[in-house]
Amino acid sequence: MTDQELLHGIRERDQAAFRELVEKNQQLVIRTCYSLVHQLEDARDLAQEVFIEVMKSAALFRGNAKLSSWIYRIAINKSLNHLKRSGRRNAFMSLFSQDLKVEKDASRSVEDKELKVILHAAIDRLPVNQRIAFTLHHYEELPYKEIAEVMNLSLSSVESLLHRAKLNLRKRLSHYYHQNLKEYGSSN
Amino acid sequence: MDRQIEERVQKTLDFIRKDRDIPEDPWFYSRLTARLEKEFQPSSPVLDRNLLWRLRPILAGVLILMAVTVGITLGKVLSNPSENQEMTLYGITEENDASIALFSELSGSFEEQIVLIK
Repeated sequence: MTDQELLHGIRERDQAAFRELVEKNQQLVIRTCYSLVHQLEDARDLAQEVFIEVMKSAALFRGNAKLSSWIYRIAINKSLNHLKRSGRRNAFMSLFSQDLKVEKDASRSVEDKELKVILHAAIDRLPVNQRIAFTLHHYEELPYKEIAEVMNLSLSSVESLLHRAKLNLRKRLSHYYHQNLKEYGSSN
Repeated sequence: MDRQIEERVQKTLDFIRKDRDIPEDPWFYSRLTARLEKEFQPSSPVLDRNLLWRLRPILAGVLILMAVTVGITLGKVLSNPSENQEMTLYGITEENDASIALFSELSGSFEEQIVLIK
């Protein structure tokens, strides 16, 4: 089924169309939510909310953007609202500002779990627009053009956002590792 | 040290590739349809009963407040009945005094009028 056929089916409450839409976009939505909220169970719950919203608002979708772009937008909004509600972003920010409570065994190979916490904390400290552009590009591997469509921005704005996001991330991570390695060095 | 930091930064950024590998949830669609059924279920009397059940602390509060207000009002009215009676008697006496004074004033003027006629 094409996007238009799927949308038509959903408007008509066709279960087969809805199932196809979910199966086609399920991982995309969960991954987008996860890249922003960083908790898989929360991301799955949010993904359900996204599809319910799609079902409810299908009649309002004018079709001037790609269906997937519209779904991305809903997923991003739901995730940001969730973060606002839970205040998790602040918690992560404070966690990062306290030099992360990661085991300071920096000379050994860093565990995946630690890398995850450090990466998520660094992403969370990016300004919202940079965060969205970065996660859409790196987690969803969306091309600049599609990111521009999802975020309703020009191509050059997206390029600039991504460039700044990468610089900011590198800067924050360098700062963190600089502190971490220095402290580890001084403790030995 | 700078090289070491740079390596770690790169390793952290490369971790995104691993982080985006999310395991599929085989129950996602069935959980979603169950939630949808709940969401689109028309409101039933059971739901209204649930609402009333949830609102019971508020209802209890309103009832208590009403009872207290009625109690205070009744208490004010019924407390110290002798004082009320005294006030009433005093009121009646005052009224009587005023009537007598008015009567004597009137009668005085009447007598004066008769004298004048005579």
